[in-house]
Amino acid sequence: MALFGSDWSTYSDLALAEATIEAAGATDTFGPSINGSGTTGTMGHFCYFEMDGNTNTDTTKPFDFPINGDFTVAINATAVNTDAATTLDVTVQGSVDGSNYVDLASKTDILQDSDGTIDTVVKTAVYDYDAKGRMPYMRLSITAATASNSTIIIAIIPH
Amino acid sequence: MSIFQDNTNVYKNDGTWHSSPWQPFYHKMVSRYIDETSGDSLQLKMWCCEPEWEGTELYIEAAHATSTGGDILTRVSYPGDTLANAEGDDYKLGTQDTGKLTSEEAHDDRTVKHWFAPGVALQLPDGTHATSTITQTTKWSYTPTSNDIGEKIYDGGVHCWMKFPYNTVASSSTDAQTYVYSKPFPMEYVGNSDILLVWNSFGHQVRREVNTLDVNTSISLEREISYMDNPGSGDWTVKGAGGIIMNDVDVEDFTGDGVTGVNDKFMIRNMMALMEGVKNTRLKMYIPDGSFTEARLLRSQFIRVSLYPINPKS
Repeated sequence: MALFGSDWSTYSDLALAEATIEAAGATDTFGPSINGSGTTGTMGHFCYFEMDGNTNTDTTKPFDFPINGDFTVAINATAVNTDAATTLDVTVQGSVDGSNYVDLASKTDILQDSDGTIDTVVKTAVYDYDAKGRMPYMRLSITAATASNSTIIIAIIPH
Repeated sequence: MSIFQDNTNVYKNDGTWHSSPWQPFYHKMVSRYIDETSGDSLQLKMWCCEPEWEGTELYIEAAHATSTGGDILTRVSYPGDTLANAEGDDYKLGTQDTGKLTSEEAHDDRTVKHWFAPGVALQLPDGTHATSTITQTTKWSYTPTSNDIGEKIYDGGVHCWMKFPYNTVASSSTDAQTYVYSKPFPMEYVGNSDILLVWNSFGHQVRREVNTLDVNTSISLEREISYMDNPGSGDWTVKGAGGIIMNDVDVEDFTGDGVTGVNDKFMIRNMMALMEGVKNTRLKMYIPDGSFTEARLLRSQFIRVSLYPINPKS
């Protein structure tokens, strides 16, 4: 299991015109901050996720924002045309010590193979806070069914 | 709220030490390597996260045991090389039986550990050989200092340590040795909210006793409730709906989903609902007499249990 997500940023700092994520490295983040144009929204958080050309299970960095209720997960939030049409298994994981994680929401709760490919498609799911809870460290675990080298945007929008 | 409030000897085999008090915080884990004090050259990676161990010498001894075909940690004790507070159950460096766990999961390049005391863990160096690392009696001494214990974290949850049962239900041991209980949940922190329970939140690598062959090792975990203000031992009952948290779960089989079976970190989580209307809640853990002959678990094992109230009601 490896880490292939960038730092989390607020969604208001993502300007679509500059979000040429196919050319971006996994750890790049984009500016500028809110400037009156090019801002796609002010709610939520995003990270870049590099699908590293294999089908191993990879993870994002832990959320650096509080979870106090349900939240929406958007996978491939900008509908990038990925270089290979792949499905993803996505779970939400939690940890107390920051190193040992357990699934809080399974792939059937978030995204799984049978939900179809993410190629040019935004996939969304809602994390059920009442049913699944929260832990000090939370992150997404992502497993691709088909190897892809594309970089996608993952968004978390707290409700 | 001392971890030694029930007994200063956490290895006491009469069942008087079951669990530590719940605490609304934890200390981050900090590690350091220690060299052996005598015997073979082998560093251990030590972890400590309980300030009460500060200044106490923890002693670890290993040997090569021909009879069991492997290298074994034969004793842990404190303070120092004393038999007063000691656990002599053997921790085998290699596999315990064909198809069963190896200690590799608790090597120092992994995240799971061997918590051999409440708040103290060790990891073997990556590549430690199962049968040829230890050639002679080898000893280590570890005395945690304040620098070995990380910062205090108030994370919104409450946490305790629980020891695995001394023996199985079918062993004819006393109830105190067979059934392990947590302290009642601190209602001032968790209230009557739904609670996310995390069993083994600090990633202990579960092991069974060293020489059991082809038998199952499982754990049952139940939620017990009481409507009494100060319940005695006979005032508890298993919660009806939702009271069975783990039912005869093979806790060595770490291929589960973390809900019905332990995951690759030996963890399980459970959302406890219907908390309203009870005065007290606690956890009961035991090794059931299932459809197989059950083996007991290694005795020097302590797991962290964490509770996170969800939707606190004001």
